[in-house]
Amino acid sequence: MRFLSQYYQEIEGIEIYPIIVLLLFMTSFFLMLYVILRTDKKQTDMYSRIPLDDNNSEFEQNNF
Amino acid sequence: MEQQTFYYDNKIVRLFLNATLLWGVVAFLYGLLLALQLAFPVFNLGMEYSTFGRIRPIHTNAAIFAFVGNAIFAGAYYSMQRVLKTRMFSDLLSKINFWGWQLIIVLAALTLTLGMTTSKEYAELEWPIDILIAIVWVVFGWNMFGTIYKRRVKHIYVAIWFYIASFVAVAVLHIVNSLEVPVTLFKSYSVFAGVQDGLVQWWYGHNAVAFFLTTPFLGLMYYFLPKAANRPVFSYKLSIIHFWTLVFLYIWAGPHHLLYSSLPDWAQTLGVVFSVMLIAPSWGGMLNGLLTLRGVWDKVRENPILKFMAVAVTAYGMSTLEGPMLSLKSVNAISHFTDWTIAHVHIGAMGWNGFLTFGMAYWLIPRMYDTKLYSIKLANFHFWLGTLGILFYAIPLYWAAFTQTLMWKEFNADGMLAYPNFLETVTQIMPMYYTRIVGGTLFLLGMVVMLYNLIKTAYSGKFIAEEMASAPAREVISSSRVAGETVHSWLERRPTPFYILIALAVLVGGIVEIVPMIAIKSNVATIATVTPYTPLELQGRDVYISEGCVNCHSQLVRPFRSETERYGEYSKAGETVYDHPFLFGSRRIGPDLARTGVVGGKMYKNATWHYNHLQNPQALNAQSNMPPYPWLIESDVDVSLTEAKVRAMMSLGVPYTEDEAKMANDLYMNQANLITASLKESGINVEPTKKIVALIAYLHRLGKDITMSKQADGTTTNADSNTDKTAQQ
Ligand code: HEC
Repeated sequence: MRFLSQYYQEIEGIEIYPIIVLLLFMTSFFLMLYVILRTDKKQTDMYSRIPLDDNNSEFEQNNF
Repeated sequence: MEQQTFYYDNKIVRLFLNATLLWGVVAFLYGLLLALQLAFPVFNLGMEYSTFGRIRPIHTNAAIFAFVGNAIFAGAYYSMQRVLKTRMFSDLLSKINFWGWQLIIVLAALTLTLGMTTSKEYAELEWPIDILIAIVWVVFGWNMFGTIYKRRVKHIYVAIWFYIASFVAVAVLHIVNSLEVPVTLFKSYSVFAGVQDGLVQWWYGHNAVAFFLTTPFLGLMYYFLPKAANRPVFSYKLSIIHFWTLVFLYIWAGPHHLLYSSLPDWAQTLGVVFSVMLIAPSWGGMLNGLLTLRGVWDKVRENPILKFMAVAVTAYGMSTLEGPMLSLKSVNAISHFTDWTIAHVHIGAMGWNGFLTFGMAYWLIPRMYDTKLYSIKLANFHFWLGTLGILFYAIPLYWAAFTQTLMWKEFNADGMLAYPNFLETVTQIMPMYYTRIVGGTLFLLGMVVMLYNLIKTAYSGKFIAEEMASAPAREVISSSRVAGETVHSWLERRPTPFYILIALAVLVGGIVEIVPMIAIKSNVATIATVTPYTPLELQGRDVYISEGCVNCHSQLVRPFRSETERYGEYSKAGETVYDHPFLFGSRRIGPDLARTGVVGGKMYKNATWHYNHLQNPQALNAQSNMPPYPWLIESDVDVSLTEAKVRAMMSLGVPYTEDEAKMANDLYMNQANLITASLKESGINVEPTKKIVALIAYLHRLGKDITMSKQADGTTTNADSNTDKTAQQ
């Protein structure tokens, strides 16, 4: 597929794309990180138990 | 708060699970047949319906869409109801989703067997089936969003996020890549051509892996792994980071790697950074999965379900490390077109998708039948059969890939190719192909053992079609943000902005990428001597597509000396501007054919040679593993379609004249008569309308336009300014 790259090279202003991508990614990544790290740990611990919280616990014996 | 009683629908889960197992057997059987065919061509069974070129897409489609697809639905329908504490939104939609999907699979198997194919990998199905897929997919989404809407819990568990992202991304990928102009009910041409078609296809292909084989299965992992281990996921925060990073980065990944390969250094560095970045969320997810098992490793040793899942998650980590590696240009130069790709995808498909599905099935069946697994011993036996199967499959193929790529690239002291005969490099790796058969057989055997075990389990219990559950109704809070509430919890109380965010994360990458894809069309240097295919060649190309030759033959000479020495001048984008669809191929089981029509070139063979070779390749080279195609001599091209095909191409901007369209069949016969006349000189009598004549015309066209440009100006190449790019490889 490498032969394609030479055609990319000829597209005007192509260098801007990686920069846009990087900026976009970095902003959204840090925003997300900020939001997630601020979330209360107690709350996420509760969320993480959602799959286990079936009210048919009689199934939860080791009956694999 | 008021407790509400309701019932989970297990019937739909069982239906999808049964389908998963059934299609799994079919997919594995087809895979085994392919492995046999490559080692022993007799397994092409002497029928056009069962040759390698037709079976290969059936195998990949069955594995991806039938086996993995049904597993996704089974797991999603089970887990969605439980984490959202509600029955599915609509039983009718569930049923349409199930039967619609099975109908698609059956139609796919039928049409591909009959040679109706677009030839674009994992998107081979023709347009009516594409439309059906879009409809059924929307039904699934509708059912899912309805279920989310009527949930009884506030928080939408992370597994569901993965399902939502998969839904959005697959819908977009499928629609864009399937844009085609119909000629008949089961024949169409891609609206994109050549390089552009290739870019769209690989954007799709890469992300089909991402959003069909990976993200939905991560959703399954985040539900079934904690269930099977009976422990909460290691870190919920990590799972959220895993989610957002992955869905945002993944869509960029395919063409990204193409972008940077010969851009300036700073850009290349950035490209590497991005590939490495994709490893981070993938490994974050893998570690999150494996660490969920911490403290229960003693259970992993005795519980086959956890064993399957632990290996699945490990295989996920291996493939996602290998993937970015394969996209580095130096690695890609040796891995591309070899069995390395095949080995890589099978680590993912057998290890990650296969083993997670097996673990899920062993976990689900006893629960839905309110009983215990019939035999833990047999499940453990299956685990070992499967693991050995993967090893016996993958290791020989890695070996074969290295062996073959080194042979392709080796020069002797005189600067000549050390192995100029392509077939030598095939014969050399035959022992690896035999070993692969062992691997595939073990894997299939394991599946059979599982079926027996699960059927026995089912008989020992009683199916709970309607599983009773109860939960308090969801509180209704005002839709604006409540004081003290975090952004995140506000978002998930109101799923719509949340959907939009997910869609944005997935689409932004797609949109920014589409721009260079469109831009590239106007950037492809047109080559004056490149003209549209003649009507005969066009029909011959369709024979080539229909027989699936592209599954063994590439048409893309890369700018490496080892390739230009073997095949001829390297491929230019301008050569493919009328190629709807592109036919670059992805694996060279046979030699590249891009220069087959260059008279006096390294690859040129006359019509008689092609005739004899297609009829029986083994008669010319006893060791060839190309299937014989004797029926091409017997069966006719449907010439009633010639004009319609030319007109369809015209509607896509291919510059045929009105006269050419009207006289398409006259032109067809004139050219065909020339070929039959030259065959007659060698004592071969064949009618001009036979498929083989059209196919020979097409083969003789490949690469011809480029030599014309040479003759025209007397220069080596005016077609491209990048001649000096031929790398010393
Ligand atoms: C199973 C893989 C496979 C399939 C499918 C296949 N081929 Fe081949 N093909 C090979 C191999 C291997 C060789 C090299 C050995 C030989 O010449 O037979 C080859 C050789 C060729 C050659 C000779 C190339 C040269 O100059 O040495 C041509 C032409 C060719 N194939 C055309 C086709 C066409 C047309 C189709 C579809 C109708 C097709 N092949 C399908 C594997 C395949």
